[in-house]
Amino acid sequence: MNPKRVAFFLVAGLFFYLALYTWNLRTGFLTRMSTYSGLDSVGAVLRPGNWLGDTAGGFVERYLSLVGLKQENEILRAEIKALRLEAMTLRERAEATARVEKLLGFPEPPDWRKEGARVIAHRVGPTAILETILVDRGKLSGAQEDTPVLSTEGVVGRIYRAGLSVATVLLLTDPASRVAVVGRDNRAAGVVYGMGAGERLVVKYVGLKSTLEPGEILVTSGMDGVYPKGLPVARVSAVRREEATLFMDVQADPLVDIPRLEEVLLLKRAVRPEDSRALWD
Amino acid sequence: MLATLWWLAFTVLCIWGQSMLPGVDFFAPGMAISLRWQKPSATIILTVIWVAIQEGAGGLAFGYAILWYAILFALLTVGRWLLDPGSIQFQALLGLALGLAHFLLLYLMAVLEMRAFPLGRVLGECLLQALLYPALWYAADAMFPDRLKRVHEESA
Repeated sequence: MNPKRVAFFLVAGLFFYLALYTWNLRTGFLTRMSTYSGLDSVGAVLRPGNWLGDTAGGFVERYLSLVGLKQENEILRAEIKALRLEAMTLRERAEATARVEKLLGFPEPPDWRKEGARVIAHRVGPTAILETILVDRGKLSGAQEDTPVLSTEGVVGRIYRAGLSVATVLLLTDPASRVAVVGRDNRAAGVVYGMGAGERLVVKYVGLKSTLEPGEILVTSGMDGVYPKGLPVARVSAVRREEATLFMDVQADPLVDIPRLEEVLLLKRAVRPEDSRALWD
Repeated sequence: MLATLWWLAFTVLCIWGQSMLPGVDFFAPGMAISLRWQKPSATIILTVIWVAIQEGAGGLAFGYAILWYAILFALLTVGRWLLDPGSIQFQALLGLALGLAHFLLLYLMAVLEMRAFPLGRVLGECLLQALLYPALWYAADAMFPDRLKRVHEESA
């Protein structure tokens, strides 16, 4: 082949590619199209296999769990009694708080609905550079970008891309993840940053004069406009105060065991408040 | 019909493979087989489907898979002039080149999107891509039906 022709095709191809890439960055059209086609087809392929695996695994697990069932039953009964007592006290306190909030004229918190979803895969494909999981809920069931994702232990992350029936969840541990938090006991505010798989989370912008101790649970502050207030995120593992800076050096461990996640909850807000819409759009 | 079924099964198995070993492209050997034994139109259709899958399931903005398959196409085309495309040595060399291309492309895309680049993890995945590619090609080529090879040879 003529070298001039090869060079022409190379330059023309590169030009076309760059034009396509920048156009897509601006409009997101191709990303959306590949999400609706590629992501959903991956979900359609992975879901039946997962179902088979879960069914077979569940059968074996049920058989194995018959061993030692009596002792486990007794422990669980004792646990239920303790939890009932705790729930009773907490219910009283919650009702009292609601009454005080009503008296003081606080606005009603936005309405959130929970919906269960199954984890069908973790990272998939060569471009899976982000820490993500795939769940079997998409736009058809009301999941959309930035929908908070939880487990029973705490915050898992938020939806990064939503296909029609499958969605990609950006995990708390990804370096692109940011969650506004406060300490549950001492109310010190900060922002949790992911540092990658298997790494501890870093809590930035915690004021030097704030009170925060190792072992304290960090909960969402609701200031980021994504997560509702009060969801547990991480447990503080190390706090270091250096006089030279304005902020404390804080590390935390996520409460959720991400590699073992099988089911998650999607939190869907019924109506998005006007102020947060303005902030995020 | 047989070709459609074979490529459908191949694509399904590759998706499963990719979910078990993230960071590795299982479709790449398919392109080598398709270019060798099938009509160009079949390769184009398969590549479009695989691009959609890789881009949709991945975490980066659209663009990686186009460059990735363009590089693979170029390497296969140039390599065919110099070496026997049916030899495992050629495919092993191609695997090494793909491992390197995977690293460079991911780095380029991560920089363009201002994403964190997990160096250790990506290096491991590149090594896995380089090692897995010839093995997957060998297995897929051995399983590719002879009837489909003959059909193409007769029509060509």
